[in-house]
Amino acid sequence: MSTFPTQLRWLTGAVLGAAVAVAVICGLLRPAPAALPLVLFGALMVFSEHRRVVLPNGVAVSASLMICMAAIVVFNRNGSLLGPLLVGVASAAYLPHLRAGSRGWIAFNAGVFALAYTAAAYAYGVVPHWPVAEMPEALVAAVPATLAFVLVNWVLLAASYVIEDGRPVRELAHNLGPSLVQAVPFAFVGVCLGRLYLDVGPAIVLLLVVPILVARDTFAAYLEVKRANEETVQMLVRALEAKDRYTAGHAERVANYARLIGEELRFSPARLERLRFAALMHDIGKLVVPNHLLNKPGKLTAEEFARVRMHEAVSAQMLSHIDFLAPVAQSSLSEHTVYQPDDAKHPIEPYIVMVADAYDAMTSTRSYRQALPFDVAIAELREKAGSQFHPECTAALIRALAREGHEAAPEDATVDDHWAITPPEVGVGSAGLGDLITDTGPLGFETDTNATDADRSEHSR
Amino acid sequence: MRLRADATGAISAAGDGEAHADATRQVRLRVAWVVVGSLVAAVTVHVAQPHSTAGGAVLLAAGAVLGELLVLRLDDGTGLPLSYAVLIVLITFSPAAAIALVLGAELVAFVVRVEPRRLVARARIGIQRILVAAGALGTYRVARHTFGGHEHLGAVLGVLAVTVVGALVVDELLRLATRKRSGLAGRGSVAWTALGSCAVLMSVGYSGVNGRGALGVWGPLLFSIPLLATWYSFERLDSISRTYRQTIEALAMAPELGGVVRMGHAERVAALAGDIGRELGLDDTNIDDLETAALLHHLGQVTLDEPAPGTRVDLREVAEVTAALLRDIEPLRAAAEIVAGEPLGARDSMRHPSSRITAAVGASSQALKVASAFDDFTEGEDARSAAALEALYSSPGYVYNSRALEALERILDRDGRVRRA
Repeated sequence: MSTFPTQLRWLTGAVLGAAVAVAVICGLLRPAPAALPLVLFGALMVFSEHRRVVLPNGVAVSASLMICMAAIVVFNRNGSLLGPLLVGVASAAYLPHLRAGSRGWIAFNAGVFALAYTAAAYAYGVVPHWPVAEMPEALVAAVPATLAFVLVNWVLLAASYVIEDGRPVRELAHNLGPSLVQAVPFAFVGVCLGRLYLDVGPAIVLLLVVPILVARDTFAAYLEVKRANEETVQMLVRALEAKDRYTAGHAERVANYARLIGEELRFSPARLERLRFAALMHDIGKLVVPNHLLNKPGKLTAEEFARVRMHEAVSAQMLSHIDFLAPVAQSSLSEHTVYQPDDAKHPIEPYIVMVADAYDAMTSTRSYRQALPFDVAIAELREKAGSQFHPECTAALIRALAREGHEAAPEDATVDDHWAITPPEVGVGSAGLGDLITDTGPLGFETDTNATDADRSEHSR
Repeated sequence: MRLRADATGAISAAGDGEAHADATRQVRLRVAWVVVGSLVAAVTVHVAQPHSTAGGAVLLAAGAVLGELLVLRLDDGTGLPLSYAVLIVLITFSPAAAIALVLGAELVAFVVRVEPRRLVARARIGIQRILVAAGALGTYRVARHTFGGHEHLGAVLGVLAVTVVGALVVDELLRLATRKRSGLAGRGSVAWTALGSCAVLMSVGYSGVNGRGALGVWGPLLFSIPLLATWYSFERLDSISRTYRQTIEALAMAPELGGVVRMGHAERVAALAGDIGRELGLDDTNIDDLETAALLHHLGQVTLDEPAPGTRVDLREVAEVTAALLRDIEPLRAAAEIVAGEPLGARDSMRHPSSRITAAVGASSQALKVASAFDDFTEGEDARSAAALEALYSSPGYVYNSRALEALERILDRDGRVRRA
């Protein structure tokens, strides 16, 4: 966000103009702000903006609303509106923007915060009795102030989004409610802080900085470890792909199909997150399978086959070591990979991963066969729904794929351009294993093979 | 939880995850019960005595109970209960009220506490809390007497700060007595900072200074919000750190389950290399990197083709491939360099081509090399320790770092794993 879109110049000009006009009016009609709170709150505002935390969804969180609410309470004692306005301007002094030379964003933010905080300060004093009332009643004054701040801030930001890339306001509207709900408790803390500033002294404000800073730094550390964990899982995926080049992108695609199914089944964000990790790591056990077996173009011997199949149990063992994945770790245990209609006590996640895995296996090229067309794969899913696949999962995937407009196999699902080994018609390779079942019955694997029946039936067709 | 190799050679990973999730659910449920119960009690008291502060006191005591359920989890698995902050507000009341409220809160906490489950352990924790509160109460009375009354903000803040230190000292003494790590180690110091500053804010918010600015129970209530934000961040950090460590441990299983490394090798080497690193004077961060490096030092081997019959796997290649995998991950970069330096000889490491090599990484590589070789010689059997040590010492001087070897010898001596004639 460091480059400033030219379309926003007019809006920035208008916002800044309005802010200057409001400043002039406030300066003329209301008393001037005191110097000490101006410096103190201005400095705190700049500080808190620099220590903000950017959440994975791109939303920046800082303590500035709480600090400004305290400033509003303090300046309200003599009715100054210019104080909150100037404190608002101070919060736009964001060093990374200055360094990047994006004066545009600084000007825009300065105007927006000046207007939003002045509106909040005005709303705070709108019922003269409220700010001076005793404790529970005094908090009421924070509600219109928070509303005014969030509304002005939101309207101007929404306008900037619409002008910048034509996004509909509707898309932003769902942020409004949650941000209000989160803002109110911190606005209450700000009111308490402002009153203590007036009654016992400015030092109390500095005392609150400490726990806020600890919370902020700990949360930043959490986001860092979270990213490290994510990168470690990506490393694992890369290690798997280094072993078996036919599965390039497989884990990511399975995770993507699993997400589609999860969204279709209205999973919570936390559950979607767990499903994503379970899907990304579903083949983790293949790390223990020797490379030459994974890439073997021909048929596997019974011994080799057993060795390859071992990866399912190993995956389950490794995933169940991770507490947060343990409840869904049966995703690779063969006794759970066939759908059992009366299986209510098991989580649905393993079945989701199984359907996603089977769909991607069918629509990608493997060492032993070319990718199947989309409609063949879908027909296969439909046919096996309820017997091999969990019917809810297959239905959800088919609905989601239709909605997303997946007419054919994903672009990157095939690697026919760089064949090192000509794919044989049939055979047993990385995710395949199907071949043995149909023509090597005497080996006795019919009973325990169920992981990749999609491939098996494709062969028997 | 570490990896364990059972008799059949399979790594068992009996997760305590279910129990943890269950405890979290129970905490939520009991927090809800305490909130509802305390609101009912406070309203009842308020209706019975509309002009007293008794209703607020009941709410504060309930806050102390809630603070027993919500704990700032520290790196070593122990915790700092949020109740400490509320206890410090309670002890500023008149001594009789303070004692009654603290005892009452701890009695209720004894009932609603989720962990530990054993009653004796619960009672012990309750007594520890009461001792901390008593320490804070004593410090507060003495400090107030020394600094005088409540005339200005500086004196009030000073008295409260000393009170927090009093509670901290008692808590530290109790940790010492129960042989736990200092509560100030790792995340502990920032936890105490947040807890202490919130306790002071809550207390000033409750009674104000010199008769001004008293917000009553609203002060502690609202200033608990930053403390709850801190608690939430600690919970998230604790949970993701556990997941991250388990992800690394799961990856460490791969070479063992794949049969390219002896069962339990990664875990034993991590423990031993960590000990050697501590003997060499590495700090906690370096030890973390070293243990991670030790857990993962064979990971790359599973991506390589099996060596041709009659040949052995090239350990330098394993180290290079493993380091290449780890280098992409910012927090694992130090571990990557430790792994990369492991197969180099004792003198080579000083002339490592990479400029990222620090003295700590060099020493860690040597510790890892010695620990890994020792485990290869002993094959996990303590009985072979002496012979393994002998073999390491009789290797040419440029293979193993002599300081790391001496550190290993001291550890084996200390743990009684090598019997001297």
